[in-house]
Amino acid sequence: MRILILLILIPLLSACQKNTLYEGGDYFFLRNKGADMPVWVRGNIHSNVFIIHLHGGPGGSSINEAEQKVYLDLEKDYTMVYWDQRGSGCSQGKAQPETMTMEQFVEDLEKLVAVIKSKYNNPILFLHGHSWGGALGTAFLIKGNNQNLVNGWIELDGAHNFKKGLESSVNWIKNYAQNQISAGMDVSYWQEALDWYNTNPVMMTVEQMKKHCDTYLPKANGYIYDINNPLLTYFSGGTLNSPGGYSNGDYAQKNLVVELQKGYSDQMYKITIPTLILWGQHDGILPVDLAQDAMDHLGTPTNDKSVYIFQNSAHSPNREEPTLFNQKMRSFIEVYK
Amino acid sequence: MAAANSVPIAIFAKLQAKLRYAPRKSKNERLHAIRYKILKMKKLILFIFLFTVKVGFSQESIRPVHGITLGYFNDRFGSHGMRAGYDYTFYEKTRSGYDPINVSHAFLLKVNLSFFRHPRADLSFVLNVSCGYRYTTKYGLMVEPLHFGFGGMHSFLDGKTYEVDNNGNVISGKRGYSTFVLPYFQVLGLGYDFRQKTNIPLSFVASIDAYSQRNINTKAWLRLATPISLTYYLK
Repeated sequence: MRILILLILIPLLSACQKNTLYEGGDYFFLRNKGADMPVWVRGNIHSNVFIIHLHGGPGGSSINEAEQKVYLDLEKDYTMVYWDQRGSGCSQGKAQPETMTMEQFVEDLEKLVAVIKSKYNNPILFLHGHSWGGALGTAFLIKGNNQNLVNGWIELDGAHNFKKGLESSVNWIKNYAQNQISAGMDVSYWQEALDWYNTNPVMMTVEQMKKHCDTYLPKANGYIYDINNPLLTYFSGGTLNSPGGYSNGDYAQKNLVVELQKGYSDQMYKITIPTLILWGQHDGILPVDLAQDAMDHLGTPTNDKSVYIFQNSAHSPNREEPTLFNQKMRSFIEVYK
Repeated sequence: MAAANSVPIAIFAKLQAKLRYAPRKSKNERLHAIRYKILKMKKLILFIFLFTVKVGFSQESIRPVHGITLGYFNDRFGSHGMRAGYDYTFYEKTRSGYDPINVSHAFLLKVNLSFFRHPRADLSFVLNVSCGYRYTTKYGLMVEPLHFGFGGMHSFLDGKTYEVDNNGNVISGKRGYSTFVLPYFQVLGLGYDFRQKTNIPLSFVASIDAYSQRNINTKAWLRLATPISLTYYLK
């Protein structure tokens, strides 16, 4: 009988345990065109400086990235705004496939900016986009007068020209495969990879993208330069108990393939606000030559735009070299806030 | 060997000839055949229904058939909540007559209202009905294999919801929600019936339930729940 009572009590008591990782700040939802998108505003609200984080993917999650050391550090002095885009991460609602367009994503971001400005008494805003978030940030800034809403733009290994980036990525991995074959490493595997790239010169389908992004690039360390880097443990990618128990990554990726064929370099002359370009030297998915592409096409005066290349990082310097990344972010924000 | 093979070959040839020379049925004849099959199916369903009702209501109750349930509900192992419900045993038979201290075969209907909170995601209510079989050993251990059912889920977003109208005005306050119908299965339940060995009118069941949710971006989600229910039988 005692055992039975214990069996009933244990789960009831475990229900009282708190998950401290996801506490603090304001947590609310932005509802637009069928999507219920979570927004988490956390950090030093008194600073009046807000950094809107645009996650990658497409389909990733800002909410789950909030546990990264680099952002927790930034929260001491600034306010971070983590927002999961429609059909992505922990977002809910019914985002119909036809709403999965860059235009709609830009509209969602415009509405997010309106909510932040209204709710927090018109704070100073910075946009910070990583990977796919770099494409979204660029598309937002080149539209109308949107750039007047923010003080600065920080692009981190961004997809402002995914079309060019993908071509560059294929060349990057072909070079890697060739080097591996020359060095006699895993020859049959990399020969097979080369053959695959030769028979699939243009990637238009989800399956092709998945093969490139999920099979060959990780194998070539295209995302993470040093997989033994101890700092990487800060990012768990969410747990079942986190809001990220919802994961819509596949949905967004499936419905945004067309958007991934676009590039915005030729319209970046419209962007004239202060911009910081941050890139990992060893990025395989959006190779480092895109950093120079951004610098060349931005309309920002030379003194207000700068680029920094992280020598020990691939696609995510914020995870791989958080201290240095943090310094670069702070320096830029302090100048332009 | 040749003789053994010739039998199926002969049957096949006969069948082939029958099919080849069978007169093609007219459209009306084919429709008539379909209607006949539907009628037969209807009769079968009616028979099963009447049989179930007869068995259910003609059975002399050997112990209380109505129970109220209170318990713990857990969605996907991380979102905790509670449940309350009603148990109706509409058929029960023991191996040796009506001696309750024996193996029991029972069919029951369960109605449950559960709620759980997935922090920073949603607060959900699930109302479901399920029906299935329960086997109780003479020691009181209960096993409930697959119970079928259906239900409805009403989810509120776990946070304030903001909208921006076409003029750029921010509208706040109304909490977003969604409602949908879902299939609900109790995959497996294990428990203990105190009535088998004592006079305590209680039983408990821990189960693994599966249900689907369709509100997230037009995609069906499989959800698992692990409720533990305590049932008090009314006299």
